[in-house]
Amino acid sequence: MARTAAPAQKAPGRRSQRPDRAIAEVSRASTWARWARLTFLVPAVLYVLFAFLIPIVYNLILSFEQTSPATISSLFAPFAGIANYKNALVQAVTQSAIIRTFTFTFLSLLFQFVIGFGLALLFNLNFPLRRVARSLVIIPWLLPLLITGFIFKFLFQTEAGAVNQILADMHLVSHPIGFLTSPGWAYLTVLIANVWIGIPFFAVLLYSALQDVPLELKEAAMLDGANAWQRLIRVTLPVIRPVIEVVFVLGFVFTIKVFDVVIGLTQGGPANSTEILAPWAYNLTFQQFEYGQGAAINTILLLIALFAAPVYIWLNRESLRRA
Amino acid sequence: MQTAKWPYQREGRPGGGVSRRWRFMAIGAVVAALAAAGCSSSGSSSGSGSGGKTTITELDYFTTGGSNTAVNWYNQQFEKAHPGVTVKREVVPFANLITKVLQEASAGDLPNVVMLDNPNVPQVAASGQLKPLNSEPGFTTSGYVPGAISECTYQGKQYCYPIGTNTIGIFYNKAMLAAAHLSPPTTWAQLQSDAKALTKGNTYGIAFDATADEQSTWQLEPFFWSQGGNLDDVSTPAFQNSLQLWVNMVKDGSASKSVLQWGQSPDLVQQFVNKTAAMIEDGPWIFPNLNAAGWKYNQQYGIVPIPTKTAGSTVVTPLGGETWNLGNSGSAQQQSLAWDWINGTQTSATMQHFTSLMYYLPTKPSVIAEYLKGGPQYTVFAKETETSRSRTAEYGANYPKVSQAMWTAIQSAITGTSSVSSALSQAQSTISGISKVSG
Repeated sequence: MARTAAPAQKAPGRRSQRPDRAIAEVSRASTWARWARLTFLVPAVLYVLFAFLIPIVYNLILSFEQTSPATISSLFAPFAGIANYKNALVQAVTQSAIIRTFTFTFLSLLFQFVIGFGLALLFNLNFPLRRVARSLVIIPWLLPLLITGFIFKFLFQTEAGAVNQILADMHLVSHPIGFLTSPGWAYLTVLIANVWIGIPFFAVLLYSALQDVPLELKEAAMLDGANAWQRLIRVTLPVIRPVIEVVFVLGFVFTIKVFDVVIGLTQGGPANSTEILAPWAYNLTFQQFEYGQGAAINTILLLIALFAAPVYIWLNRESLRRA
Repeated sequence: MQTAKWPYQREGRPGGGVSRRWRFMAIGAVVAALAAAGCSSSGSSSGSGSGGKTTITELDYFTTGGSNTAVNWYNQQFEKAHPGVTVKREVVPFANLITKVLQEASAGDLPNVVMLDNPNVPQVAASGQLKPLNSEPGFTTSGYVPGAISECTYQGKQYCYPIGTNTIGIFYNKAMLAAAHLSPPTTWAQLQSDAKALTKGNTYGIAFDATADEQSTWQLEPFFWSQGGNLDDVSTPAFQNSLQLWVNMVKDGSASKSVLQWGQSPDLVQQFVNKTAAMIEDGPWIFPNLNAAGWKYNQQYGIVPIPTKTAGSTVVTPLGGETWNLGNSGSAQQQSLAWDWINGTQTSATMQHFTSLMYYLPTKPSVIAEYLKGGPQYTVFAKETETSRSRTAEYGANYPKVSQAMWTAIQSAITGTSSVSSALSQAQSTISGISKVSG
């Protein structure tokens, strides 16, 4: 009753006469409570507004404007129609960056999943130092991406790079490989770096999913004579399927916007051979000062990333319907 | 049944859902923390303090070394000469400066004194957030090397004073050249043959910078500018044979293909000091690195101007260096103090001390003469700056786009993705679509 006391004091006369008093006061109190609840939402709403909505909307506006250094200090520039999209998309670099972004994302996810799932299965077994190994796997995830870029740059240098040194010592190559200086190799090197970074994400989430596969199911399958491979394919995978799907969708969103690794390793070079959409948008905006075109590329990137949402819902339609 | 050893032994309790939820939450927390760290950016503050104290703000990218010392030294001098005035200095890494300046310009909130790399002056001037200096008391353009004035010009007005300048030359390893009985190169033919002769074992004859950024355009500029090439048309013979020279030196093994990855500093200096490059194309900013390695001018290394195609022609190098600019925001009092600050850097004594701390060259011939007495290693660069060219002369605010087209061509030709002529005609088709903003 302490809650109803405060508003009730404003109308002391009516207090005892009205039979519906309790109901009225409860509803008044709940109005209060509702406002109080809304107040608690304010920080979250402000955060979403300033961290997500305003940048996205501003980016969208920018992508339809005729921008130049002269327009950056005013909020609005003349309307440009779809000129920025057209000018960005006719460039050969943009076209190859789009294709490369997709192949890069596909290959990254493929290897991240295969290796990550392998590690998850490994950690699900009992062996000495398992916990230590499990924590070590997370390290790539904890390193700042730019530093990862520099470490890989150091490892894959043509001269005095550790990888070339090892290959030469094993007599596998006679001349050092230009891991970062030949277009094809550079793409592969960036891919390797990105796969390495993404493995912990897959390994950790898939491992925790494996932990939740009911023991009884596997026991039953074992009694029915299923071998290890059959138990993996017929029991484990179907049970953890929802987690695999979530991991893939999130991995897709993370990979499609890869930026730091490319900047740290190759800056999109040599000869644009590692240019993918996010660093290319940065290049257009902050190196060529084509804000409009950079914003257009960002919008395209956003649309691609948003594409993941309906796919996710479609994949989960069964469990969503059940819910 | 539980006695059987399962391959999929699990450590958790039967109700694994709870532990999983915690794990997800922990992951979520980590992700959120990382996102917050990634998104955080510092706001800027400006304005004057209270109690008779005035604060002016100053922004630069001199994070370390002599240039950092120089700015701190000057700020102290300035505060001593202006009681009640505080200079609030903000330093950001090189790569962040232009991003930060553009963001602050878009908010109409530039610091009172802004340092800009000279090719960026036109862009920022175009935003209208810089104050032209022409009407400031005591402003003058006389007594400077011509390039230092043209780099500060935008639409007929002066927007900056040079901090100091620099350009590039060829550093060579004296012992290696002496051992091979070679003289330092003055022509392209000599450069090529020297580089070839000096290449042996782990040592390359020459190293230059062909990275995917402005540095590679800047390093090729002396080669085509000295032949009368002009960025208006990059498919001309001047460009063709300049780029061909670089490609040839990579092809015949005199230069490593890693030039595509080696920045001017620290990569090229490391190659030079480790004796894996007998010659490098670089500038005076590497003197502190050479000093630190115990290398002395005229003992371990020598410097010659960038060789020209034919003997005796004038070498035209790009003019490097940063500039001081006056922000348009702030109170009239702050602006006038900021102008005092900038103007004060241009007195002969200050310029000489400032540039020597930075390993840069002064921009006034009268100061240069005095300067060379204490630093003979600057002689070649000082001579070059007399004929140096401002990079923004032709394309003004659009220079970065032209430069991007050029370095793309350089990288395409060196990787062998395309031939020199097709790489350059590709670049030309990009450049012809770029408008000339009057510089």
